[in-house]
Amino acid sequence: MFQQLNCTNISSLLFLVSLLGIFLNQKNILVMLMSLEMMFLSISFNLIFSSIRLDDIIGQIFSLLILTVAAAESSIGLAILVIYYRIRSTITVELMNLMKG
Amino acid sequence: MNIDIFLFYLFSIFALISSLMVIGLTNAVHSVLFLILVFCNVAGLLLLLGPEFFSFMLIIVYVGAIAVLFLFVVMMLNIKLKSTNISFSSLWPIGILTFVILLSQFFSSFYELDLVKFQGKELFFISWANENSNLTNIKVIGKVLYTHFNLLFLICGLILLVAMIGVIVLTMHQRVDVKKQQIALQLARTAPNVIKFIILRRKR
Repeated sequence: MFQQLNCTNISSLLFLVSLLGIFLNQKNILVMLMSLEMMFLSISFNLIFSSIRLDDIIGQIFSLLILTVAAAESSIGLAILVIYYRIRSTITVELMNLMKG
Repeated sequence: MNIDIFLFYLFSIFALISSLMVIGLTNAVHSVLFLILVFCNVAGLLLLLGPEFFSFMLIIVYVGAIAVLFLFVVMMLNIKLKSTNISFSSLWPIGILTFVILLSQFFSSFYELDLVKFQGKELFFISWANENSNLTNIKVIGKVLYTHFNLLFLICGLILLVAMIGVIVLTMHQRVDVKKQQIALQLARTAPNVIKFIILRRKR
């Protein structure tokens, strides 16, 4: 029904936009986590579309796994963020120099 | 114009615009709300493509769990919007370079792969007898996931368990300087220990 070009375009453009969001955003780490979620979303959309296009169910199973990992990752990231805010009372990315790495 | 194509373009354009708004806005609450819009639009795209189980799963998990979690954290943190003007000129070139490389890959896919020839106008013949006996999406996923990929399914559950315990352990902290209700002390109080009678006027 829909052409292959359109769906892969949408997914890759979403991935690119979230990549830009990770690299260019310096204000708070919350938007970086949101961009990470959008990257997961675009990859999982790409997998689902490929599974439909190739008529193979394994892509959708992989998308389910990606969904699980995304949920776990975002919860742990937000928990670390809350602890960091409790210690430093700011979540600006530039000022994250506790480890002096 | 075909209604499917129209809806497809509508959802995709809205998803891209909302994703740009997510990374562009300064207020984090607005970013979270546009993130919800992105998720809903991609769920609509999936609903157009066919896998309805994944579409609703996406809404349930992403909008119902992850976006609400983000909203919770944004409301809890009380972020002060102070603009620190430390120059991030060190990260601009990496971001722009990666973006340009991937974008050139994306545009070269137009020419190299010759994907445009897929856009033929074929008619679709739907045999409703076959459609009626088709398996639905959720049935197929269940049949594959619980048999061939049962180990992956168990590992998924384990990942979620570890994440849950980790988050609880990370965010739980007991304060010592706060007066709390102590049930054991309250229950241990008895009347003879507490109440005492004072004789005020003693007559001589």
